[in-house]
Amino acid sequence: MNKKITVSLSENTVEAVRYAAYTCTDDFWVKIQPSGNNAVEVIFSPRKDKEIDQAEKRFTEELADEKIREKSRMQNIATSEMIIRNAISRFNPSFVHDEQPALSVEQEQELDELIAEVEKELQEEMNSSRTDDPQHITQTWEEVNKNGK
Amino acid sequence: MENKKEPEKYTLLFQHWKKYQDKILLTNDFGGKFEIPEEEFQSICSKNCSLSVTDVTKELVDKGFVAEMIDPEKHSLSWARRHFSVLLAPELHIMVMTSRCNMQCVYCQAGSPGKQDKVLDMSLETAKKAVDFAFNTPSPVLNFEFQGGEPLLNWEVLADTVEYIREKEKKSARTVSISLISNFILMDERKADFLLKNEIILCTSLDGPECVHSKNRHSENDISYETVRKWLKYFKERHDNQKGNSYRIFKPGAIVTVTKNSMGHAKKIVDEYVSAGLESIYLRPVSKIGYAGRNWNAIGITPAEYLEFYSEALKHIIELNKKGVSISEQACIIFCSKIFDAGSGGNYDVDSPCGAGTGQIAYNYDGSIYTCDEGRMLAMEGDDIFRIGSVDDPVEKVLTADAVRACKCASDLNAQAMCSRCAYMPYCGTCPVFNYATQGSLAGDMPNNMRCAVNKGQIDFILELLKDKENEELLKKWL
Repeated sequence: MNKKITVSLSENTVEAVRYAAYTCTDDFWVKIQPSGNNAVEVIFSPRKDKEIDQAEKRFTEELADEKIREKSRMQNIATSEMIIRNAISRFNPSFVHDEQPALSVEQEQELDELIAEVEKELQEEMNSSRTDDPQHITQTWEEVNKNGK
Repeated sequence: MENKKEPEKYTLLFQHWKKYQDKILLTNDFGGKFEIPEEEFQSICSKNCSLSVTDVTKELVDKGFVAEMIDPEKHSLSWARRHFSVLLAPELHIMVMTSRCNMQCVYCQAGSPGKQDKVLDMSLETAKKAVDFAFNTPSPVLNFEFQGGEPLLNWEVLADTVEYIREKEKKSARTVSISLISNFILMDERKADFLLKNEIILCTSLDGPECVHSKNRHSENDISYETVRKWLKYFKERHDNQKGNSYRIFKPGAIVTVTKNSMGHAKKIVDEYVSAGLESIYLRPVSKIGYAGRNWNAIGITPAEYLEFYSEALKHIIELNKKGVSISEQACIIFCSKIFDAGSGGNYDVDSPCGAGTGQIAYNYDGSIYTCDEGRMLAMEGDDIFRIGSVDDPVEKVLTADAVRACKCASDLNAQAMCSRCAYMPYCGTCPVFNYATQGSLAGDMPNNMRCAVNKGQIDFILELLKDKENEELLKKWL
């Protein structure tokens, strides 16, 4: 046996109807459907051994509570969100990042080889391609002007 | 000097309420709780929640119920304390050393196979990668928890992993703790000594006196009860006689899983803990997950049955405390921490959002990483939905995986149709894995959810107890 309740949407939001109906789903199966004339029908059928007569009383109470919740939410949402934003931005815990681990033996060896290779190239360059420097462009200002000129 | 201007109006700031006997219990997201006569409440609501000057008491202001007199610093800190898990990187790193087990408990959630198949063991290479992964996450605190199956079945790898963690700890700025959850059947003096010298926190399962424990926890030759009692005694003695040691020995701990076999034994179970020298008991109802779900007819209990059991046990614990016996109950501590605004209670299942992937992660034996231990257990049943990566993946990728984000959304009680309207929302939390496993959706169906019914019933009972000043003082001492 089902119980059908018609709810006006000019006095209640459809969200309030839906939430109020949802809270009754422990005892009843609930179907909500449009009912013309800016209204919805809420149809209850009992789950378990609940008396269908209890459905209307419970739903009506839940709907009244839901209307208060909607009002209080409208009043309070800005303040609540301000507190939460403040909490998230100000009270982040400190995080730790350990120092990067040292290079592995293989990586260290590879790096040493690279350094040795570059040093060798530089040395070879110094020995083989040194040329005259008539304009003293390889010398620093101090070297060129060592007498303070 | 400039005079502070009084607000022109005062508004009652509340999000949740509940009819509570002849009164209305109001609560808010900052942990505030206030009782008001129903008539007065209806009158305030009919005036768009506005309060007269005479209504504005210091208590209402202090608890964050007057919108115009909110202290942003204080109430933001309070909010942060109770929702800490959303701001964290994982602290709890659960390592499943093996999926094998040498017991066959009637409520096993992990679907453990027998003790033979060693391919279900974590290799040392995987264990080290898991430890490296944990040290690459940014939390300043790392708690490693070795689990199974039965972790002692993979002892050599476990011991080497402990040493590896302690070595890494020396080069790190982290605070590190290590715990081991074991049935103790494979424990011996050599292992015990190694564990204690490495400052491992030891925890086991003790479901009550032998007649209850042995019905729940089956072992070869039925030695589980005797073994657990023997090693609890051993570890407690080592704890009590540790003077002169160069290392700290922690008190051993134990947890209870309440099944149909526990019904009618509430007081005896508490007494068993007292006689074992344990100072804390954690009562938890069996979950309809894994093997327990398939065995539900034999072991399952309804929320009403559990709540009757819980209230009898908690009343007994309080009576024992009044006689000078030191024993506390962990679920009560979790809820009281939130009721008294003393933090989140340290349980990621009862946080909003839950700690899946942010408070904790679980490394399976094969190197797969899951949002939490429950998510890993579900994978053992063949459903990998909570897998978030592997030990070879970059930390950022794992911690921001789809499953982590889905769990955050599903367990944020503000987004839950019923929870967001519940007066107990500031004290509660939901577990997406439990919801998914038992109801087929991460968000769950709260009007028909067992944990919702249990949590609400427990909070009802605790609030009732708190009406007595002596009880209140006593419960505050547990925090």
